[in-house]
Amino acid sequence: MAELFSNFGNLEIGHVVMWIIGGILIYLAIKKEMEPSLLLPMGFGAILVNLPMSGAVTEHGALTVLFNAGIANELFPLILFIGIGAMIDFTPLLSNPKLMIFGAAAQFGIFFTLGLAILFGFEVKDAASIAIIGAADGPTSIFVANTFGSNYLGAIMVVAYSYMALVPIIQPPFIKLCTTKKERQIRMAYSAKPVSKMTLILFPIAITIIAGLFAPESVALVGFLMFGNLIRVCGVLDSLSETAQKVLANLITIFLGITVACQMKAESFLSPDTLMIMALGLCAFIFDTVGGVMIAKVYNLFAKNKINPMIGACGISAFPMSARIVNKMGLQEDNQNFLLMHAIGVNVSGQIASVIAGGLILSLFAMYK
Amino acid sequence: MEVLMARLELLLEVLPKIGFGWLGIFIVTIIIIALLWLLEKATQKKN
Repeated sequence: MAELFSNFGNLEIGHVVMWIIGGILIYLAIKKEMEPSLLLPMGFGAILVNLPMSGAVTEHGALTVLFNAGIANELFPLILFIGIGAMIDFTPLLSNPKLMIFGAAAQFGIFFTLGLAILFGFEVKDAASIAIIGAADGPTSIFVANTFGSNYLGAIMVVAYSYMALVPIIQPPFIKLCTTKKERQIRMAYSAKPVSKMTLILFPIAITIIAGLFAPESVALVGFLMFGNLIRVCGVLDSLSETAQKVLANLITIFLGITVACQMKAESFLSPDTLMIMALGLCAFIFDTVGGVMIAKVYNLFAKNKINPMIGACGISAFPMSARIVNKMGLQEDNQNFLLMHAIGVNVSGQIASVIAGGLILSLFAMYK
Repeated sequence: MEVLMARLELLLEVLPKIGFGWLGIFIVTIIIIALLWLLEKATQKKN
């Protein structure tokens, strides 16, 4: 009888706290529908790995095997990128390529937060891994944190996906803070320019080559994303495209969420550093928003046709939430102010820019501790 | 104080790379925009 209860002696308060955190993630996923496909597996995984003497995370435990097979070697986030690439329609961006500038501008939060994290005492590689939360791109965050061997992978992933789901709450106040009512009312005419199939096909190939030449570390990230897109646009692989968008992406998402929970063991997760990462991640999202809006305002100083500076805030990778928010804000100011297509163009460019940012960070900071 | 100075020193060492990182994204972006413009021109000409 005593043997039946022997494991109870191994139970620590940290385990219980992690069960509560896991429960909160599951609650947010189900009740609030916040990134449910990831927060639910992560929440359940957090409980799984925080059972005392958990068999799931022993040397040959199922989650350890999955972690080594899919995350330690960066395979899961990369395969997920094929699915994401197959889901993206670059047409709004290709019909107005100058929108890409705002995708670059909105990566400001990453670099600002990197400096801030160093000031708060994180090692350069950890600081870079935390800062990339600002990419608003889960797979890129995992890829960078894992490549840099960051000890904070679990916290980074929880924070990255939680804030992505909180974009509708985080962005609007800061967009309003940076713009006047008059600026928010600026209308933007949209005329859908046709994009040739040749351009659609050459685009992913060209992006991969350019990004690879400038940031070789980004080749895998950009390459897998663009490979997925090439499958989509080539027109002869419809069934593969559909599989990549649905079956492949869903399958990897299931394993990714639950496997990352391996990094959510109480002893490493429950630390003041986790709170710090939450604060820095929020800072990255805020300064992404501010950076994008401010560059759009600078653009307006020189442009003949003014743009609505709110679309600058869509240059993050949280697609299509960010574009929808800006469109909604535009309509709140003027019920004929339809910004959706422009906002989607910037949002899509944010997806490319965030991956390039990840690659540049990997290239620039690889030599540090 | 010493710790803060060490962090500041590290930040100053890393700062040019941080700046170059953000600038780098703009450079890559401008090249992509130029390439897209050329690509569109070429395909329009062909049509």
